[in-house]
Amino acid sequence: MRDNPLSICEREFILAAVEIQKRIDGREPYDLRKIKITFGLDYGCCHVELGKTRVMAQVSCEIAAPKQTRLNEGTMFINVELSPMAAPQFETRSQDLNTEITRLLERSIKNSRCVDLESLCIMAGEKVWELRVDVHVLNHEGNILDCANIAAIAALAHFRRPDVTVCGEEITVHPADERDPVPLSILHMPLCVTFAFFHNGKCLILDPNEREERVMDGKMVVSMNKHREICTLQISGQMLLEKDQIFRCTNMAVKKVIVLTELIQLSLENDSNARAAGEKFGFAESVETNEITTEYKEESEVDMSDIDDQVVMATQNGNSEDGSIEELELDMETKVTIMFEGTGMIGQGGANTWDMDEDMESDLTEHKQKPQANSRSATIAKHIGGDLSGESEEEDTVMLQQEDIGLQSKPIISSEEPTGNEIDLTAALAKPRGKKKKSKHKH
Amino acid sequence: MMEAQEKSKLSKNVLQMKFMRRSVVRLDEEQNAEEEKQTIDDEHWAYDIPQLKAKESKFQCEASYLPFEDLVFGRMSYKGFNKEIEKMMKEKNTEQSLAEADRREKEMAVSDDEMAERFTSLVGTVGKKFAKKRKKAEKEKVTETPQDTIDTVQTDAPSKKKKSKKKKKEFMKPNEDE
Amino acid sequence: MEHVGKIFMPGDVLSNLQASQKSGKVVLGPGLKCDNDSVFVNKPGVLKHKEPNFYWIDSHQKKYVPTRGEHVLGVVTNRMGDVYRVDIRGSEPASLSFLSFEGATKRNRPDIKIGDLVYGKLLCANKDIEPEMVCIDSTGRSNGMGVISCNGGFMFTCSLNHIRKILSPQFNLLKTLGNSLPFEVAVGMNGRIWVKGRSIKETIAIVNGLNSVEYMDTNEIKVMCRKLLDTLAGF
Repeated sequence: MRDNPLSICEREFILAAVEIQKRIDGREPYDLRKIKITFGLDYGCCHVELGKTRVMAQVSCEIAAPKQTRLNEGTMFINVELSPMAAPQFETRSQDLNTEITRLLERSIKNSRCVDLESLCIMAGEKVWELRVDVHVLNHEGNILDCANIAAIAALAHFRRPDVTVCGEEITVHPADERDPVPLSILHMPLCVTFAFFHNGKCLILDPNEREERVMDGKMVVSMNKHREICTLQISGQMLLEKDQIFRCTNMAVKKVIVLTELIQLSLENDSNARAAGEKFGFAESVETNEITTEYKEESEVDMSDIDDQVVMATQNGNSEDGSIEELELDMETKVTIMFEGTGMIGQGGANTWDMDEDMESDLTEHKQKPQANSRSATIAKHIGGDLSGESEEEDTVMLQQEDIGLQSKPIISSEEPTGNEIDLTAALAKPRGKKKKSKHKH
Repeated sequence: MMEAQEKSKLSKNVLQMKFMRRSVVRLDEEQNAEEEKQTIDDEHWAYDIPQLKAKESKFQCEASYLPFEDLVFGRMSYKGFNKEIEKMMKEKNTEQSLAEADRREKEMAVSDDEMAERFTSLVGTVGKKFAKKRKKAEKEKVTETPQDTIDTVQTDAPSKKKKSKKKKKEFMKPNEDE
Repeated sequence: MEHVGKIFMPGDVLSNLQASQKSGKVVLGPGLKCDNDSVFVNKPGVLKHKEPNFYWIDSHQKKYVPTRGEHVLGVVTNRMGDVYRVDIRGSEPASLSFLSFEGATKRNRPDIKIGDLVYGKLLCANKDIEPEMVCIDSTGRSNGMGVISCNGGFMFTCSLNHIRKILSPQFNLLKTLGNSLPFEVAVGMNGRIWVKGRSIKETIAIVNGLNSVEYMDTNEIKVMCRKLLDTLAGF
């Protein structure tokens, strides 16, 4: 099936926007998209969402003979599946992309020796564990590689293999109810960070989305762990890079990798806690019922910092909402936070309330107020904000957060007359959330 | 109908002229619409079993959302960004409001059909009332005419009567032919 | 009648549909299918009704199925002799003759590059043959259709039900934004929207605004719009 073509106007707009350090989805140039890591019911199953890109990784193992060159080491095999479900064009000409991703993942995970393969040896020269990492791309919205790497590493760290005892020549594999399965020993976590370059390498952005990937001149992939060790570096495309630009990128990558590693570890911890406490876990549990999950809108960050002031105010309203915007936190530090009870799913749709009768609407809101306790799962969602924004630009930024006018405020709003001219904005805005917000600074 | 259409058909040479382009397009479109109708009819040939043909389906299928949701035209411009589009929007809006007003007026006013229907029911009753008088009047007239109006009226009245008789004959003719 | 406003799944059977008094017919829209005398649902969604006898299913959908008479926003992908191939997000590209532009003749061809955006109407859309698109109406005038000038502006895609929401007369976001911001949009029924504001930042703001209102109701949109304008005005 043919590909979604790129129009001239998209290309020109993206290029022009990148030049003034703006992006369509409201991100700063050096921001990652929202990441959500969920673990499955089984060990070794991990589902990662990077914006709308979705990847699922499943680790499995079996006993096999070792390679002749390394007799006392287990083996690892990485397989990447690009199905047409991810994007229609993957049916036919995805071979190049598939090989590229597989190779980079192998270089990043296998060649960096982050999994202690020696510990996977059962009987030297005869029987070792063979690990298999299946990476399925479920949706393609750009930067599959970073997402796949996070999923693969998190799945490996989550995986438990059956315990084995060796007694002379006899090998016993203990099932899970007999002995607890053993986790793999992960020595470090190499993570890929992708930079896209525009205008002959002059402008760079982090974590390009699908449209940006189409427009970019080239990209640089840095695979790193949090100890500042570079595991892989690849530059592709037609542009020339300066030496200090590569340094700048790697420095930036370290910061992202540290945050990501922390996020993976926290989500693993959260998952094991949930399992230990007998709570519900697995991504089937983390799915909200009565919610639209197929096409939900990310909270949009609209940066309108320096739009000229000629804009005429449509309505003359008081300063009531002024205050509520001012009181937003000024905290710009990036913190890894776990958001329980599905708070990470801000903007996760909800039923379409458009064009509905009043009584139906109230019916719906009743459903919405269901106890959300079951969504306390191994779900971690977090928005990694611009921790580099100090470096990029210190400017007046006001972000339009969708949850400010979010769904919770609906009962209040909908009770009003639709024709009313006055809308109680404070009701909609006075929703304190534990969400980090960038707010306006006055220099 | 067919005859009328054939009459209005223009010659090929005329249609090839540059200024006739629009009417060519229009004619083509008409023809396309007709052909499409035909093809749709043809598509149903499989179901053309006598018993099924007898009862027509009471459902009519429509693939587009357009007739259902009153969607507006997709190009819009605001605050003079694109003058051309804005002008068009205005035209469409006035058209729409006119149509809306028309519709409302129709709703409020009694339609011609309705009026006619109502009056047909009245024709009988009201007719009777007048009938007597008229008959009376006619009778009186019949008795009066030969005496009073001789010159002008007399010449007119018989001709009218003749005409109507002729018409009746004409109308009967095809029946006789059959 | 009592079904209206309820959610239906594919395969459900509907009955008691109200027919028009004049013709005795019922008009079935997208998502409904008739077989002999029974009506089946073939899309999951909410049953909607419009007086006197219109029924259809309002569903969430991302895949565009070309339908005759709809206005679409296409991307020119190829040129083959006298016709352009235009991607309209359907299963097949539509064909667009170079003559079907306002004022176009054999000598005077429209200036279209590959990758340009065209706004046009589907002249025919059949499941068996490729759809055909035109950029003029029956009188030969462009009437807002044609090539969309490419200097500036951004195109993005969204779900088809969102498009219908944007085009419905009750949708107030564009009008309210339009009261204070000059901008231009072209909305295609095939799930593509093109927006152009005065500057890149304004365009991004409008794009984000349009994108975020998919699951909001009229009142929420009002509040969001107010806030957007406030931020624009520099609060």
